[in-house]
Amino acid sequence: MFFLSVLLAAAAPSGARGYDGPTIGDSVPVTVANRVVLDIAAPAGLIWQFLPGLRTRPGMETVSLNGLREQFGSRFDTIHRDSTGKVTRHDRIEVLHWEPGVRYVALVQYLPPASPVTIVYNVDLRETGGSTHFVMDSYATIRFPADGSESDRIAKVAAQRAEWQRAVETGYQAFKKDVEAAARAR
Amino acid sequence: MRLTFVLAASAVVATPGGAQVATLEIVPAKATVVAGQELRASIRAKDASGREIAPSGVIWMVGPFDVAAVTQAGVVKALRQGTARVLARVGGKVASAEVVVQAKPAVKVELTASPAEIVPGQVTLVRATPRTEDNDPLSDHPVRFRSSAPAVATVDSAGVVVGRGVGEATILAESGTGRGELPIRVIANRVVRLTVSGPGSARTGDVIRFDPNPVDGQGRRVSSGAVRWSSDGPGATVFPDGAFVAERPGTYVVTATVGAVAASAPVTVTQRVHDRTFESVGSVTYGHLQAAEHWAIGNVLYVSTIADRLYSYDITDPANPKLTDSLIVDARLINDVSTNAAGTIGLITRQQASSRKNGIVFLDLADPFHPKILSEYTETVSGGVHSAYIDGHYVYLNDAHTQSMRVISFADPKRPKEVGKWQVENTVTRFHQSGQVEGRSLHDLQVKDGIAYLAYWKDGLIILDVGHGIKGGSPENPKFVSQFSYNHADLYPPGMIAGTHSVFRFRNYLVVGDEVFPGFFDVNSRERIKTLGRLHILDVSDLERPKKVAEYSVPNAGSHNMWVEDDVMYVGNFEAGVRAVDMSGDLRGDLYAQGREIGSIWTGSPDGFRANLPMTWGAQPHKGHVYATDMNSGVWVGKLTPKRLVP
Repeated sequence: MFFLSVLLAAAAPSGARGYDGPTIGDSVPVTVANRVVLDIAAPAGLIWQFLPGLRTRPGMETVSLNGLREQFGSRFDTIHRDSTGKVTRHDRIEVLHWEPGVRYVALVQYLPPASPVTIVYNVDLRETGGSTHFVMDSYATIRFPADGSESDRIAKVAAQRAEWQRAVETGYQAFKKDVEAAARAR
Repeated sequence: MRLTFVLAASAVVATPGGAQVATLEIVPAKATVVAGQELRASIRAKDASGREIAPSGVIWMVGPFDVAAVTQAGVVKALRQGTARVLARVGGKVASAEVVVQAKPAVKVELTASPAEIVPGQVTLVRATPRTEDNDPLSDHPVRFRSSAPAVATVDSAGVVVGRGVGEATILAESGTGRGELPIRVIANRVVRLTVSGPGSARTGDVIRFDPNPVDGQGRRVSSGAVRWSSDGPGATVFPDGAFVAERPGTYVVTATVGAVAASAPVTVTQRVHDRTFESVGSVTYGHLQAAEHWAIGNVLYVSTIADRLYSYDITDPANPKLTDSLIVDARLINDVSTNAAGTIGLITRQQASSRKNGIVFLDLADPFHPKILSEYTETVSGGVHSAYIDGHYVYLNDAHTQSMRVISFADPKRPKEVGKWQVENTVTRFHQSGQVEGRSLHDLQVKDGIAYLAYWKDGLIILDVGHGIKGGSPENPKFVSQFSYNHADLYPPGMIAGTHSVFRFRNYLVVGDEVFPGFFDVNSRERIKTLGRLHILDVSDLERPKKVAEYSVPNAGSHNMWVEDDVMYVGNFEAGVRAVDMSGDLRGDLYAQGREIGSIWTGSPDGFRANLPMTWGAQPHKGHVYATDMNSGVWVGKLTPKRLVP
């Protein structure tokens, strides 16, 4: 649920930037770039298990789409269900780089019931002796309806961008807390 | 290395003779041959009724090109150890056969032992490397050992030598008809007490040294030649000379042994921490074609392409390269680009020109942002030039036709001329009917301080004197100094093109890179091209005896070109992007595992020629920034910056 909540929750980290893409059909894509840099008191190998698409949670099912797992080119869905079996979140993930404990790049698509968003996560991990320097660049592409006035649309885009950036910062503070708790529990 | 083919097959193929090919196979479907031998393959074609027919217009292909070659008559020539796939095509029908190429037999066995001097009761290991007449090492060939004097030293089937009595023994090794010898000296053990000293702490990747102090009964220091070193626990290695390096943090105990006398010293290793990171500060995305090599000088960046053009960029603002010009020449691949030291004359290499006159093109860089053709040289290199290196007024290049090194003088830039030539000789090289050489491939070269370093594919590294003086060579008359060869079949999966590809000299080290591609691939397709590779770090303090001391490779990713400046190596690691590696101090062991990597830039772009797939060609540090080209995504600019937390 973490990444869905990231999308829906709302504080812009310093250095965040974005750009408006071209109008395609009746929607406008907006890419919001974020950088999260953390010092996490956990080994890189443990942080790896918490990365987008790799973290397992109760009620989550992973379905491989091309027979590959845990390697470059793996394409798989992570499907979350509540106690009634209703799908609460559905992500489609393609691994673009797989270097355990060092570098992970993945393309993640939010599928219904979430609003359509495509994100490239680019994570770099460097152990520093007792902790790990964590750098994650994310590039989230969100599509907006091209209706309404130009000024309305610009305002909506700006609001969404700020919301997204705030969500990422909040979400990754929680991520750090979760990983460090897991490290202490080991 | 461009191999394009189509494996689509229609149900029934009409041959020029009118017969309909329904099924096609190669006979034999599988064969094993020894390098240097030939095998005649044929096709068996049948029509829809199962009747054998004899179609014309058969096209034969083979890959990897460096394992076997095939004529259009179906004669397969085995070149080097590996597995090749032979294809025959008739119309849209393709048949395939597998040819396993075994290495030639050993003609000699090289032996080494450290230490080669032991005391009674002490053990040392003799390492044996059988080699073919082409100097290929044969790691999988069995070796038989025996001692000339078992009363002095015995040897078992694994090459473990035990000192039995004072004297000299010769360890003899045989592999097939190949033989080798190594003298082992067993000396009296006068050591009654031993101490070991060394640093008590280090970081992962630091090469530290332990010194033994063996003394006799009178307290006098005695020779330490017979010391055998060991280290407890995984994650660290101590070498026969007492050098120690760790991949993982922890406390290790290093022990020196002379006969029954031993001493130890502890060392605590902490994780190597970099205070810098490596970050992208700008890029220019290519979606329309593939970038190749690049060269930055002054405020200009030149980028060659897997196409017919050379781009020039103004990099006054490094984060925002501005395109200033494009120069188009008759070529389908401009592989290499560089300039003289002053930046006044440029050089590009051409391959696959429509005129079949490839060679090199000199550029007038009076206006560096707008290169103009100054002259060209094609006379002896019309078959194509892949790589070139400028040293003074000489260009050292590879002639793709003969796979030889040519030396071109451009003392008069308008009238360049060939002044020297050198080529490695091996027993499998031949001229194909197309006129191209098979069985020998020169890829990259660098010249520094009068020494030429040649990446000679399956023949490994070749070192030549071209003015250094060690062998009396000159640019006009290059002289062989040494060869460092290894068996790529030991390192990479069968069926892949694999060879010694690139070189870069710094300090007393030479980085030698392997390039590994699929046996067949289409450089023009937008599909991923899977690569592998590694960088071998050689100590070339003794140019006549280059010695591998370390290695760098990103798991499951390729390697291409590299550059070292201020003790940082920048590597174009193909699918793994651009990497910055700390090369400070002495180098031993696995640099990646030791955490010497400072950082990396993932060079994928959704708008690239191949979307979201890095394929970084190489990187060059220049004026505080690092410029890299990526076949799939264009130009990238990186920078080493202080590490900081900016949540």
